[in-house]
Amino acid sequence: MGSYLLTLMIFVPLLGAIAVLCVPSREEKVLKTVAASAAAVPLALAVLLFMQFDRGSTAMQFVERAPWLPAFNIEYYIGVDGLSVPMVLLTALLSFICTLASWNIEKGLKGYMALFLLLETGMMGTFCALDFFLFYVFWEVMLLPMYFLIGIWGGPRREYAAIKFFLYTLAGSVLLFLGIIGLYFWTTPHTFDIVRLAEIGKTRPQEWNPPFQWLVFIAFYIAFAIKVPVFPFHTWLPDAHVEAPTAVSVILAGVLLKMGTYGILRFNYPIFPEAAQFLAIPMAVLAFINMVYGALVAMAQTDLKKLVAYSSISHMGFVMLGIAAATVPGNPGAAAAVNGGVLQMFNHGCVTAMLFLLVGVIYDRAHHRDIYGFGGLAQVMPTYTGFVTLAFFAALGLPGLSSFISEALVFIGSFQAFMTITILGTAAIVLGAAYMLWTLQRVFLGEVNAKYAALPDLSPREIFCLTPLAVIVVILGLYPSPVLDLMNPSLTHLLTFFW
Amino acid sequence: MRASLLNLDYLLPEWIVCGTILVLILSYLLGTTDRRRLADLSVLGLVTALFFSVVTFFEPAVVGRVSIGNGLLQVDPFSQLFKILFLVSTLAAVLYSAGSVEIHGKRWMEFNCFLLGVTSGMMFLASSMNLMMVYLSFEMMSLSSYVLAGYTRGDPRSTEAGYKYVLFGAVSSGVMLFGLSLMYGLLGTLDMGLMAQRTALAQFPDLHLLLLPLTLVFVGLGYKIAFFPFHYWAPDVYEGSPTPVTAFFSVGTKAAGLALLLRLLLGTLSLDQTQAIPWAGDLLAFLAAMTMTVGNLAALNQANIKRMLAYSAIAHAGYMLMGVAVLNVAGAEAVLFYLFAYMFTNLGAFTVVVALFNLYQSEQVDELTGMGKLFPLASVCMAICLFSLTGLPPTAGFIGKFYVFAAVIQKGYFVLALVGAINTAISLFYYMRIMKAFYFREPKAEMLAAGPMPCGYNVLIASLTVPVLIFGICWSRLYEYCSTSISSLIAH
Repeated sequence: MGSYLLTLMIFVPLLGAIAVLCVPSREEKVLKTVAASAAAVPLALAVLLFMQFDRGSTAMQFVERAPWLPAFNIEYYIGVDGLSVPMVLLTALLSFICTLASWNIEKGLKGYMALFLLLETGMMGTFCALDFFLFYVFWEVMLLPMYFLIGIWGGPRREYAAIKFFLYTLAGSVLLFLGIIGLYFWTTPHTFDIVRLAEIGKTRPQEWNPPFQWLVFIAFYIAFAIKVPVFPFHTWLPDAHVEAPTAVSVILAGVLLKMGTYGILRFNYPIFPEAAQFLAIPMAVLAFINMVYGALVAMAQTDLKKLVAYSSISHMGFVMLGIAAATVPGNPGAAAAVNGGVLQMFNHGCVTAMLFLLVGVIYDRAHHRDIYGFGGLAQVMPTYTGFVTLAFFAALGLPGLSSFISEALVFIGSFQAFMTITILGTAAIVLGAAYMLWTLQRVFLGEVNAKYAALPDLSPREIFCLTPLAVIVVILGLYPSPVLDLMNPSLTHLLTFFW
Repeated sequence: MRASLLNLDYLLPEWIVCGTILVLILSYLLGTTDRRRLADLSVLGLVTALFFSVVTFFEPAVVGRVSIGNGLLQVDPFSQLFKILFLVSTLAAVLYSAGSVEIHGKRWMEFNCFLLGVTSGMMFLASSMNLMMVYLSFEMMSLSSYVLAGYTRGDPRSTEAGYKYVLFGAVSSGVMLFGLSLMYGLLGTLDMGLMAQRTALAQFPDLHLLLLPLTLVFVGLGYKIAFFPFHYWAPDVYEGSPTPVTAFFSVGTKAAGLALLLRLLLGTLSLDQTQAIPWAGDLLAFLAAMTMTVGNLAALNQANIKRMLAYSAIAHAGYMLMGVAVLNVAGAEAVLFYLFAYMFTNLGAFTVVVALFNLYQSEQVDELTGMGKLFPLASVCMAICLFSLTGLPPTAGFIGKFYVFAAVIQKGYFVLALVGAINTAISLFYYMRIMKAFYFREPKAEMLAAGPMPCGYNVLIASLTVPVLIFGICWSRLYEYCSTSISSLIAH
């Protein structure tokens, strides 16, 4: 089975989706069981992958290769390295949790589950693809279910949010597509092989000299920046996150945003190291804007979900800063920066997933999310408050919880590269603490709001969804090595592209 | 090359189509007025013709090109592939019309005969190797299609469509004829094979002179394919014509125009000569960019689904013209592939439109809400077709776009590629408007009353959508066939 592990991981959800479609829609129990088991298989496989992954190697592992369209050198070529394994783990984990978190979906459960599993196939494929064409196919396949999930099961402004999300992402994707084709024709022999392209990129070939390199780099960067989202391409995010149903927001913030930074690390950096180095400062400035601007806007929100959405923009800024600092030549902290950045991707995935799940919990009960509309919930829902406190503290970077490690690594690594930006950027942490603590205070402390005095606490299912994430947040806060060891060799190897 | 007057057996598909017309008329006179029986007859004829087109496509003699009637016609993989395309779209149109409420039962036989008349014209056009034959078959196709556009006499929109189509069509035919006669004057022959030799040997002092006749021919074809700035008739005609006819026009007629265009540009003028004509490529690229932009921008605000698909068809003509503009083999192959992908996709989408019109007599996007709930299969297929029209994987439309963009980028037309890419994003907006109505909104109360979708339509929709998915995942065989066709066109 070893060699087909990734293929299984990608396509079992797809089979699950087909199976779900075959179940009659009134059999809700069966539907849920099928969907959850289809999402459990990739999780089990991902754990297996985590155990079997050779931590000493920088090469692609679990590689599978088969020709797809020989005439154009397009292959079914998948594999993982230290950059993609954490993302695959995150995807498998969150997808499984989200199928459970969606059990209270009322209308069209069947379609929902089928689309959700299709989405998982797209996400897994995106992180595993090593052929650029294949990557693009998965990248786009992911969009379609997302559009319907937001548009059908979303909040009041779902139509607007869904099309906005779709248009923004597609506008980026078509640029990516042009870049991919351009790159293909500018290599001899023509290839879509990502590993090969990176090898060529490392030698900084003459024929890729400007303006070609710049154009393709910027096309890729815009495509990925829209996904992250980097200011000024971020406006789709608050709409999509707020309107999407809980589980979909979790996937959006937990996995889809990471695809942007993953893409930059996987494509922009190794293929165009020269352009990446040259653009380090602009990228760092954008990261800074994300961090501080995201935090400031989050502070102004009265809607709990919007607050979490903007906090994502701010936290993805840390990732951007870390990976921007990695390209600066002679930066002694480059390794720390890039490791911190990728670890932050993983940690933010877990923390933000918790946050969105928790927001969903309160929304299910109170049917609104106004921060000022609650009060004293700590007395009403103690378990809930415990989880929220943990998640908020993790989000604001409290030492001992996972985000602290990654944010500290990012700042250590970027300090020598961009001193001013890093110093100013720490403001984002202070602002983060401010909006998180204020929210905590307004929602959970103070007088009990009589209207919500009888809200039930977390159900066992909800606790079951939240616990694994909480455990990960605590463990990685105390002992991050399991994940850091996983990614360090590949990321250090990536740095050799800049030396 | 097998040259003889009597290779008539290679024209079997054409004979069968013409024969079907006669059989239809005879059986009508003999008292078979039942729409179903007549439909069975014509489907039988078309399927047989399709079968023989496919068979001849693979025949070794055809790969070597068979000349018929002293070079009047030529049967080669290129022509056969187009015949397959025409026959599939005609088949779809016949099946649409068999259940359509727009075409009245009594006059269905006439309708069908005109439809088959257009088809036979197109088939001869694809094989024509002589300018005279080109014009004859072009007119055979056009005249019958004017009637089809104005077929529902009671409907003023249809009458307007027919009238507009005749006027624009007549002018464009005239312009094209003038261009063809200039070509004859310049090259001294009507035979396109001989023309190819004359231009290839560069006996001709100045190829630039050909620019004028080519432009005139291009204008004529531009009307048929609906390029900017010759596209103005298209939305009105598409909206006014009965829906089965619209579906047929948006695929078949466009394909016929492109067949002739490709044969003229790549088959008659050898490639490098065409490239030697200054500005030809750039001009085509400009028109391509304008065509898709105009089509997409105009489609944004359409509330009528037929009109929206009409503008979308203009936009797709623009994408295909991108492949023509690069004036090389890769581009032409891309156009052929694109045409196939577009055929399945567009016919699939139109099937849904026809079926819904039969049920609700409505073409307004905003009235067709909640279809996803009422007709799950048809709506899923519609979604796949719309994604394919946008050009998203894993559909045939994406692969078609991939080939076209690849050809354009390889040629170095970066601006054109960028315009095409932006257009793709724009087009998403209006295609998704249909999805929004189908899926994001609840069905209206009066919609619930209509009966279920007839089984035949479901089968038709599914059988047109399945290829869209299949060619989106394993398309290499189809691409090989396109390559074979183009090389048969070019190898002189």
